[in-house]
Amino acid sequence: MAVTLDVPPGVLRLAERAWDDAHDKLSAAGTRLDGIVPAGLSTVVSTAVTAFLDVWSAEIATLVRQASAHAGAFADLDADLEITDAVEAARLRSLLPYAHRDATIRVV
Amino acid sequence: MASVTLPAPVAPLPVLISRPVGVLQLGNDLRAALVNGKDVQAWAEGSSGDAFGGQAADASRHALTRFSRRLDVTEAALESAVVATSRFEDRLARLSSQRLTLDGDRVGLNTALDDLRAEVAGASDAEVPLLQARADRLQQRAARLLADVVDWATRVADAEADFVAALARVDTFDDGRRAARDPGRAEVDGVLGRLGAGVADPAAVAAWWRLLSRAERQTVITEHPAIIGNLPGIPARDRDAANRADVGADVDELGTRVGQGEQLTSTERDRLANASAVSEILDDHRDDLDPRTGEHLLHLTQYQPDEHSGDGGVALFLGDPDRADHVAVYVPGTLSETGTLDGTLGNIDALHRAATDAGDGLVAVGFWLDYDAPSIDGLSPGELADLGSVVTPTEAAAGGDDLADYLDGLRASDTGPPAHLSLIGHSYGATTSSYAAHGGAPIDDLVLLGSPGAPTSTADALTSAEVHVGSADHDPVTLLGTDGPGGPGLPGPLGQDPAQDSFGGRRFEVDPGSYRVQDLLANHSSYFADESLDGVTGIVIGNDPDEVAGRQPGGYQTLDQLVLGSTVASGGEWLWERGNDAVDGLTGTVHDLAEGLLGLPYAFHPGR
Repeated sequence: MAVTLDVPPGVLRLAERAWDDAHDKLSAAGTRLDGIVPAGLSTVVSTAVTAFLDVWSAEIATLVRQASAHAGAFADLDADLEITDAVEAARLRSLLPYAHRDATIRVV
Repeated sequence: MASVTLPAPVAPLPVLISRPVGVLQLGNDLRAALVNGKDVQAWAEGSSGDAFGGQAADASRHALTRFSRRLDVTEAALESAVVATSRFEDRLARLSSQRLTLDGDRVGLNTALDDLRAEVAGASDAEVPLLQARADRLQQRAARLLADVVDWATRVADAEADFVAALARVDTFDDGRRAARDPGRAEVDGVLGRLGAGVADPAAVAAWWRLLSRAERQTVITEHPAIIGNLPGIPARDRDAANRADVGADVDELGTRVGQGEQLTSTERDRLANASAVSEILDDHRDDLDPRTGEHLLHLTQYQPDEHSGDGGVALFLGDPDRADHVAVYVPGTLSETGTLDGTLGNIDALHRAATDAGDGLVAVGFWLDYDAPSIDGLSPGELADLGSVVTPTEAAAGGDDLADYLDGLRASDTGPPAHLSLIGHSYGATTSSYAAHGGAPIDDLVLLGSPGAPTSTADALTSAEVHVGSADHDPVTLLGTDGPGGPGLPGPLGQDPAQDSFGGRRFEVDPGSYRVQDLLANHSSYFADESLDGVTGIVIGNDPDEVAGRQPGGYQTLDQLVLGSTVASGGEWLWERGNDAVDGLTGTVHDLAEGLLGLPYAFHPGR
């Protein structure tokens, strides 16, 4: 059994590219935060800055992984857009632009 | 020996460990990260934007919305940190300035003590009461100073504590979620809406900006750095913050993609090259401080990496033009691209140092390079189209309009009494500056260095500002405005030679330059040294330099006379050394120069 998601192929490629872009930009933001070495600051201030950055660098890393996973899911689609089950189809559909939120999921 | 009780010298002040420059860099990094985060947020919100049109329940289940909301939590936390950082930086800047004042008082007091001690050593008993009274006054002064130092140290500790507390308020995910839901969170659309049509009026922009809260300003800066960083009327410090964020975000994002092996488009490669060049300058000058204020020196007031066929547009200042008493803007000429700015920066650095040393007030010297200056060095086939602009004033006229807007913006964001504003153009930049002045740029002085021509026949017709002209006798480019197609003495391809006596400008002394033919082009690039630099420095700080006579018909060598005469005077040694190829090349050059237009590319020398 396979599942088909009824959307134009171009939409899926665009979605993949958009998530890739999101991944790249968030990676860049994360790299910037990770690269901050507090300088010219007192010890107490540096400690607070480091604690702050630890939390939000980690959070951005999580978002980077999510974006990458979403992009990867679109990239993994077969050329004929076959998906293994309806749950996965619904998940991918939820990542598409809102105009395609009601795209038909058909079991074939 | 007389006995007088003297107070102890005041010990050195505590060091300000957290420095404004350190906090500034932290803020720049946070803003750069926020810019890329907000780009993603804008996409995520836009992609699911329809969901907010009435089916919120449905949208809340949408993955894009969930992603967007989670990202918004991080954004809110970073926004809070940026605002706290901005406030902390301002407080530290004030404390740093106060420390300078206190330390000056301390040094003065200790000097007075040393003087008194020396007097006591040679005093008689009869002089003791008087000396003791002086000692007592110094004691009171020392006590007041020490109290001020304690108060200052307390305020340092308070500033640090407040900053640490501000960060602690958003250092967990739940804190960030609360910050994201805070009804008082600055909302960028509403902030921009208040500006409305005033965006085209620098004075309206400046007034709008003054009324925004710190949080609103920081939100707009990180949401729209490319707008705020280049908007006339926004203060230089805030333009700097926006542009640094934009530069950082560009380097980070495009660098990440290159690092992943991705092929960038041509436009993206240009953008990355320009961003990297600017970023390198910012890094090189990261720790430079204004010698008068102790605040960070370099302000990036324009960053347009995609403009001018990929050359990019950039402007910066050494010093804060909004607070300076004397402001000078330098417009370089040919070969002025964002990727190669070292020479231009060297010129304004020399002028800033000289003007700061020579004057009493605060000085800000910057360059503006946001026009399509001709590129002629090592031209690739793709750049040949630039040649046309070398020999026509088209780009100078268009650049002049933009330059006038930029100068209007400086006037609008100025604080305190209006600054003395000088516009200095070199080579093609002098022609561009002339167009800006002719278009009504609000300047006090116009300085034309090595000008190939101006658009009017007299200084009075050009501008109401004072017009100063630095033209070396042996600079061939300055002769292009004297031998136009109409004949000797008539305007050249870029207009009238402003060094002509009939033009009516104030020609000041510059070194005439070498009379060896092989040095002629170097003469065109020698205006930021020796007498010329002295003259420009004087103008920048409001002094009139020594004037010399303008060019009179028949009283100077024309372009072809200069080239041929200097060749003869050089004794042919240069040609001899280089053989026939050089002879052919020089012959061609002389021929082209004599013909005017095509020779211009050879006559120009990198303006940097």
